[in-house]
Amino acid sequence: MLSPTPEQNTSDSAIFMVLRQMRLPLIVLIMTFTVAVVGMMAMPGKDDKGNPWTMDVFEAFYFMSYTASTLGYGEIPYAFSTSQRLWVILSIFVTVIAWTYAIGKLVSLLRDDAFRTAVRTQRFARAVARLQEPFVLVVGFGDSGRKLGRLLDANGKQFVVLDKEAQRITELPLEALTSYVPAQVADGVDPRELIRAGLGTKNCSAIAALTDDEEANLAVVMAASLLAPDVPVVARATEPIMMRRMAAFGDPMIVDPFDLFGDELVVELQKPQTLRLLRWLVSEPGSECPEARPTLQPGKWIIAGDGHFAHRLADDLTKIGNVVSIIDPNVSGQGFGAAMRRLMPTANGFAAATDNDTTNLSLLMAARRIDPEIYLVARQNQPVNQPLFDALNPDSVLVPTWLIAREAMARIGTPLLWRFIEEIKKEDNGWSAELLQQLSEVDHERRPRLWGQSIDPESFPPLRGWLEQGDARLGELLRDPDRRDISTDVLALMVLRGDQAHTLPGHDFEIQTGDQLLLAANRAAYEALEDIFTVRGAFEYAVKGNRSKWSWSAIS
Amino acid sequence: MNINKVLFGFFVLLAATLNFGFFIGDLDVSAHHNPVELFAALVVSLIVTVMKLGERTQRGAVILAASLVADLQLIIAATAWAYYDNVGASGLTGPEMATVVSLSGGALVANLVSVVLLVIETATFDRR
Repeated sequence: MLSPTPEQNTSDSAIFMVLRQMRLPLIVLIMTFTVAVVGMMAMPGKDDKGNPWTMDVFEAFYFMSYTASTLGYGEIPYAFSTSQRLWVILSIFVTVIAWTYAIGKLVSLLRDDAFRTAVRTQRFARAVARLQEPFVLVVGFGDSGRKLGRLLDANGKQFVVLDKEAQRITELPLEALTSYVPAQVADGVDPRELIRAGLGTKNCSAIAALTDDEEANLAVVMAASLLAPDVPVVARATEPIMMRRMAAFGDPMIVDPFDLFGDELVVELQKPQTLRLLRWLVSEPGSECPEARPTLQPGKWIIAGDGHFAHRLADDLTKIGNVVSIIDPNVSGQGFGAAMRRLMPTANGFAAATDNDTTNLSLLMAARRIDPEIYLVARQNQPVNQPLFDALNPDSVLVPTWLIAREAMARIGTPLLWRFIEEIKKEDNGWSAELLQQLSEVDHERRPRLWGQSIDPESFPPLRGWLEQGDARLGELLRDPDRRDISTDVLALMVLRGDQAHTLPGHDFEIQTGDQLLLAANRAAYEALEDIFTVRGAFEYAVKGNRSKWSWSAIS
Repeated sequence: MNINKVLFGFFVLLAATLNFGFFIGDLDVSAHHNPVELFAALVVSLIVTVMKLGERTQRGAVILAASLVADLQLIIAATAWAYYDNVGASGLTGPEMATVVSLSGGALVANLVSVVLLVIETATFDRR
């Protein structure tokens, strides 16, 4: 396991710092106490019968203990003589000050920023180390990071958060996530912070670098590829030079919001059912299927936007046979209005794609006023503006930060799912529509549970015999472990064999060792299948038809 | 000359010498053992402990451990002394005194370890 450099090992340094700072106050306390006790022993006194008497060490220590700590039980065991009282006056001033100094110092150390930061860091590192399941390390908890976090959480995946801004970390508990998420205010550029956040541990299953700062993302990609070369990395980047630099380190999955925007729009225009399917597959389990949009034939498009983004979008639209004009709303109002009026009558699509939501909304309103039928595409930059875009209801709203989150989720959430998505993109609209229909039947129109199941006799030995006798059919695994003549509501989406993907395998598909299955099911069917893959009796009965001695059904 | 090192060496040695002074003499004769010296040994030992608080080097940590052992033994010895002298039925006679002194003898061993470590530290420092 990697560890931050030895002198930076903060696991003890916070407490050591306090101890070192407490040396002087404690020594002062011991010294003053000693002097007071010794002096107390030297002062002549009288006992209750008037005999000369001096305190011994124990009595003097007892007296000074309650006096110095300001408890003050009085003159014990006998009333003091004047010389004793004189010494007590002196001792009280000195020892009370020493006590106050020591306690005050301790309190101020515990309230010290450096100490509290050290304690927080220590607590964070311990929380990460205590995670028992694989987790995704999310660096950057802005809009995309937060959305990714929500998706991961909804799909039952653990994650850990690093962000430079303290406010985002303090707001994390407001997210109402189902599991505890360790989070730390830290810059991902610092590899020690990444190591503390679990980079390189066996549970760190993926890394998402989603900060706004592409250089920081590059630093994360770099650290990850050097310190944990086998862990998949998703990084946000828009500038070609950054993408090239990132590509030099291992093979990170680069998500580019500009690119995704165009890609999604193209899929939406050509194969709306496919886009519905894709969005549904990476949404939260239990969510409803997004609405369908009609396809749009290629025609003339107007893109209102400027710079890089608009041109990238124009390229994507041109590729599928559209004729695109870009107009820049930032040039003088009159020229822009004139261009709008000139182009609108012949256009069948309008995209408001500036980086300002207010501008986009006003552009959409203007376009709709000129032509109520036009196909409207909106770029929504701030997730908080969702209600406004909902109210305006354009044909398509694309939120770049959410596109990033969905893409990252698809790629690192369930690796098999990403492969399946790539296969879906090759298929046509009708294929997707049919699959959507099948999927919505699995769990009452809700997004079913998706998971990967590998056919591995090592982890479940009963599989071995079944696979070796040959003719192992997928359908046999999908039988109800209580009544094997019924099939459970499991939809096999894909079988991955080596590099070969078989989409939508039928029940007579022949299973081999090492196959990876991507399955969709409702809760009951998921649990039934879990039994088949973990309980010998259930497997023997459902797959082979043996009511074996292990089976509960044989007993009843 | 480093004033911190002088002070630390002074206290480590003083803890050992005071402890030795209290320990020396017939085990069960109370006239041979001055309670004030026990008190002084305890105080100096506590100071040594505090001076090594938060120590992160290996040798410093061992000195801290040794002086914690000495503290523990001396606190028990002082408590036993106070108990026998004030509460116990027989007072501070032979066997009771022997208990107190032998406890301080244990502390003496720990203090000697501290001194040895201090000497080793000084010796290795010179060689470099």
